[in-house]
Amino acid sequence: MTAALRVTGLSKSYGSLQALRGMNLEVQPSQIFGVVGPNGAGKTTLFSVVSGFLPADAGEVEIAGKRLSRGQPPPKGSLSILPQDAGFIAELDLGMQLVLYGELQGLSRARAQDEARRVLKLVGLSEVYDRKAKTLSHGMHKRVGIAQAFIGEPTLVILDEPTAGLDPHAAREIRALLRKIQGQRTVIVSSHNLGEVEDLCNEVAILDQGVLVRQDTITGVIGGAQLVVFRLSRPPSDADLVGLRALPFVTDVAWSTDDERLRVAFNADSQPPGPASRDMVCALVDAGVLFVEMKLGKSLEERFLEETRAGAGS
Amino acid sequence: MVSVNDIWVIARFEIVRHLRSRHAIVAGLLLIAFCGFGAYELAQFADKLAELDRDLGPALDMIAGMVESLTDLPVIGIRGLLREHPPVLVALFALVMLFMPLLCIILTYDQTATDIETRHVRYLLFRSDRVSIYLGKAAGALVLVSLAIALVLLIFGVFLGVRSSALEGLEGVVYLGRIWLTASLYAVPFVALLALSSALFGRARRALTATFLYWFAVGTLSGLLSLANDGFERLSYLFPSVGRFSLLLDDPAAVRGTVLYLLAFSLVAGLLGLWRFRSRDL
Repeated sequence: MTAALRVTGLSKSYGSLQALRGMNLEVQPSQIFGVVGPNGAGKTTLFSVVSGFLPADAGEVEIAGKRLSRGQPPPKGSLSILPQDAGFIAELDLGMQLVLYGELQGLSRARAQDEARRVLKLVGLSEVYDRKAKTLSHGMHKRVGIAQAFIGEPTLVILDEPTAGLDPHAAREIRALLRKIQGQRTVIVSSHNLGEVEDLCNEVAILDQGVLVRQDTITGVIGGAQLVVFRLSRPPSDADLVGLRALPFVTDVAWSTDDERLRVAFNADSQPPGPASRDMVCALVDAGVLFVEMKLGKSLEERFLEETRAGAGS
Repeated sequence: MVSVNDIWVIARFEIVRHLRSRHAIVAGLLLIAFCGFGAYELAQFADKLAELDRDLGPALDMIAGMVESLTDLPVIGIRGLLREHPPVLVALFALVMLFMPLLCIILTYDQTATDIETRHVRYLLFRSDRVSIYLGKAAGALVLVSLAIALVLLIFGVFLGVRSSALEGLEGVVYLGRIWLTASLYAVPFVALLALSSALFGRARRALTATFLYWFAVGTLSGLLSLANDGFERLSYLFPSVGRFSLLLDDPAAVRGTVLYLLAFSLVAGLLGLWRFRSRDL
């Protein structure tokens, strides 16, 4: 299958600062793909180079098998992006601006007008077609930014921090929108909200200091540690954990006062995750310990901290 | 790959963007007020000429004096023009060319600057190539200047046509057309210069200020240094206001040098701006 996006040996420097160091990345089509990394990891630079905002110093970018020429935009209709800090023209009607984008993607004027209305409806903002950009709230601005990325139904959509700065309601609506289009096209999402990435994406890439440190499916990233995490109704005593420790496949039991979680590591070769977690639950219930949440594997946040500098420093 | 369709789409958008901006509305109202006043004065002037009962001697002296005070053309050349064309319209031509640099700077300073400043350009960059965006915005700016000149000439033309016989029928209308075409083409080096300034500074107000300062610096330096050595007068060619009044002349040989200079200036400024726009991080 042709990759929706393939990046090979991509490098980009700003003076002495090397933002991308021979980055390699491959994104398969029709999935929601997460890109995470600490500040300065190179996420926005990667998107900027892929979208043609910045010329790369070295390396290649392919979108749906077509190699991008240096300094040239992607083929029309192949890629759209919600840039992190782009703005609309404050004094102009949004409809007019969206029609311009549609026409630049090769649509006729009439089709571009239809598309502008369609994408505004998609983000639940049909009423802003005739409104000036300066009258929008931050959240609405962001949603119109997302709307413009779907004009002309591009093959690959990049959303650089689509929910940053949004209130929980607006962020939830954006996530619902992304779930709605899941499977229809390839969407690459970057976010500092790792719970959001874990929740939305099929696959994730962790970047750090301009290189790809890990790329895997979400279950691969969080489930590989053979761990069950419990949030208990109260801190457990040593006696509460005796039964758990006695289970033959359990290799470690640790209570963390930092986040008030009980982490139970186990050997999946001697007991698969399903039966293992069932036996752990039984052991806890037998000891009279109630839990309010159970999660298989580490959270993406934990894996992220382990894989990146922050993890190394903590 | 440059896309003619993209250039057209962007140019059309730019025209509408500017026409809807508060700045353009204020500038338009000022222009109309200024033209109304100017047209009234010119019509008065035409009335005085009519009172002289087409006695060409004193009438031509009046207009030749006026045109000479506005331009750097020799009196003989001016007299020739006044004999060949409606005299009041020749004065109008000189007036239009006098104000062209100012008009062009005010109308075209914000080509790519605001887009760079607000990063709106990022919504365009993955949809079109940088050359098409740059040329589209420059084309839009040029059409905007042409529209402004057309408005100026329409106001003057209507005033002169209604208030006096200075328009002199079809000949006058054709001459107005020539003024429009010449002024519109003369706007090209300014559009190129402002495109460079816009791409260089990436801030609309900074681009405007820098262009005015540049104009002032070129004029001052060439004037002061030429006191020491006449050769420094050539420095004035660094700003395209020099030699513009020769475009009033009918003799192609007299115009050729200026046209070639303006063409070269446009190419150099335009290409420098394009290079900057293509190479900068946006």
